[in-house]
Amino acid sequence: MEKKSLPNEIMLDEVVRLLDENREVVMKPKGSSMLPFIRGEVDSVKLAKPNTLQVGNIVLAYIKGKYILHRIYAINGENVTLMGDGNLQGVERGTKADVKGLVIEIITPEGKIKKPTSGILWRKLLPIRKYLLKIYRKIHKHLHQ
Amino acid sequence: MRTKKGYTLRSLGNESILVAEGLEAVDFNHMISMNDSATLLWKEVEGKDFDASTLSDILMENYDISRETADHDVAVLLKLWNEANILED
Repeated sequence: MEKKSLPNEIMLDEVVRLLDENREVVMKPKGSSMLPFIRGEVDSVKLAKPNTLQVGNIVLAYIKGKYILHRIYAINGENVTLMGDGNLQGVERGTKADVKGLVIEIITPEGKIKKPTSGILWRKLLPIRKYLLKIYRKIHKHLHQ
Repeated sequence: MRTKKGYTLRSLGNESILVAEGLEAVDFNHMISMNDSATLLWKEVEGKDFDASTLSDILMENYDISRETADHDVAVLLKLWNEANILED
């Protein structure tokens, strides 16, 4: 018996099944693709089944055989385009049906609960994101030395 | 002692996992992997009062082991369960 981190796919299949039953799920996402808003393996997110989707929502989606937790950058009819806040390029294109969960809370390790914002300013600053992320990482590194 | 309320045993893939479930949210951050004997014991005593000897008896009924071995395994398991904070008085 041990504290466990399951293979992501198996765990996320179960997360999606629970969301479908209208249960809320708390989990800790991995990776740096949602920096600076969600720190992988540090912050947790609370997910719920989405009713309506809006540009700016952070969502769990299953696109082309892969789970991703990214932000909605565009909605056109049934089509959605996602991108990670911590990514400089590369978007994921899917449909509304591919979106399985909506992030309703971001929870820090100290237990502080933050409501996710639409990240409008961050999205607008995409042309200079490279520099902003560099500064963020520098400050972050400095703080943890 | 008793098993703490709010934990549900789930099968994920080939694994048995104990997951913390609140009234509305299921918390995958508090997830404990259980081996076969731990799963058996949890299922048998969930929601009931039990002590170490209850667990040893269950192990001896289900596995061909001596009381000494059963007591030892139970002591190890109870230490882990206590550390994981999934038991209450």
